Amino acid sequence: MLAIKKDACLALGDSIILQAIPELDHYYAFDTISGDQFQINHTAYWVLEAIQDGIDFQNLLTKFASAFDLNENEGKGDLMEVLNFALDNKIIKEGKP
Amino acid sequence: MLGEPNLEEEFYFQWHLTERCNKVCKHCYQHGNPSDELPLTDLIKITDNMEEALLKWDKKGTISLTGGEPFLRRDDLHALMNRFDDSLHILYYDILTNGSLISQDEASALAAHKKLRRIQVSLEGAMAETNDTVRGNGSFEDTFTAIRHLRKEALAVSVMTTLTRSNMHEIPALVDLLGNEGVATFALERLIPEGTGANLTHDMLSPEELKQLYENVYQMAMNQPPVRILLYRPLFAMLAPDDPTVGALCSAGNNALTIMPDGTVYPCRRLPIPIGNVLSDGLFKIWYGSEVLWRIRNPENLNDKCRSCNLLTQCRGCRAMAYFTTGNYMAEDPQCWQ
Repeated sequence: MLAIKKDACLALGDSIILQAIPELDHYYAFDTISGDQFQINHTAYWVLEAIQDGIDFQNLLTKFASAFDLNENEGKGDLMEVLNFALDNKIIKEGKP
Repeated sequence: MLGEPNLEEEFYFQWHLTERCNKVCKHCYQHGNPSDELPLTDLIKITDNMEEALLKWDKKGTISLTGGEPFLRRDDLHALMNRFDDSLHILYYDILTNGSLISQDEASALAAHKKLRRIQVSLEGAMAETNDTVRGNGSFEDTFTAIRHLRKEALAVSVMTTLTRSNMHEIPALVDLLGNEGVATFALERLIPEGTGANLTHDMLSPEELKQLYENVYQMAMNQPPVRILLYRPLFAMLAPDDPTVGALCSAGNNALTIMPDGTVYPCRRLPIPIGNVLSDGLFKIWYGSEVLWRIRNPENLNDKCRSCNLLTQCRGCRAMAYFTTGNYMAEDPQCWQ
């Protein structure tokens, strides 16, 4: 598991775009350079969209737990699962705070 | 024989190498205006990009090379076909042409290409007068001359007809004629009032006329005529919803793109809304990022009859027909009879 500092600043990869057809419960992240495509669930999409909007890690954790009605520990576990998948696949990157 | 991929495996490119044409057909979806043309080196770069995308998407590429009149760029056309022949990701390609530049020598040169599946020419009726009123004097005979040259080389020929009030009654006779000439397949397209044909709305079929014609065509197809009638177009699904060979979803946004002579990309040639340029943007950015494509992909964005249709997974109408009759490409297909 990758370590993410509490003050980490996360960002979408430079060539990543997000797309959704909510009515069909279809959510995607695409890499427009490599062509990689990821079909993701609504929770992962929510996280990536928040990162796209420039949220910092601490705020993301708080809002994530609130949005999905989780306590902080549950929220952190679920959130880290999404973030590690996204980091592993270069959908997001850690930037400078 | 070149195998047909199923829709899940296929990605289709319609590639217009030039806008120049040696004919001025009255119903053409193009304006006939001059356009920048890419040199062969750029055409090869685009092919490289296509192959990269096909590999990533695990798709087999099928391509129609066309124009304008593609044989006006004969040398580039053959060079591109040579490139396709060596491709691991392109399954086959067709040429869509008016046939007027296909001599016996040209047919012989075409026969050397191993992935050339079919050459498609167009006819507008079973009688020379009907055809030549639209395509110009002598074009009926010229087209049959081309068909015979191609057949002499054992090349597969397809004929496409644009359906109008002027030719709808000649379709059965045309099917017989094509069968006698050894034509392999017959495709029918609806007249869309765009390009040079924008003012031909009076010649478009009403929904009832189209229904009658499609029912007749379907019956002819079921009787297994010598020429195979292609039924995979929107609206045909209403005739036989349980038959997967009848009807098809519009390919725009689904598994197809059109590339224009300057590299501009459209969702479909009949839906000429620019969604990027293949050289400057690349196929991944266009396919993943185009708002137009994403709007088309979501059936919830369809309007009226199309939105509530029970054949939503099989038809969705023609977006280009909706666009050129209402200005809204998500409007209902105005020729649907349901």
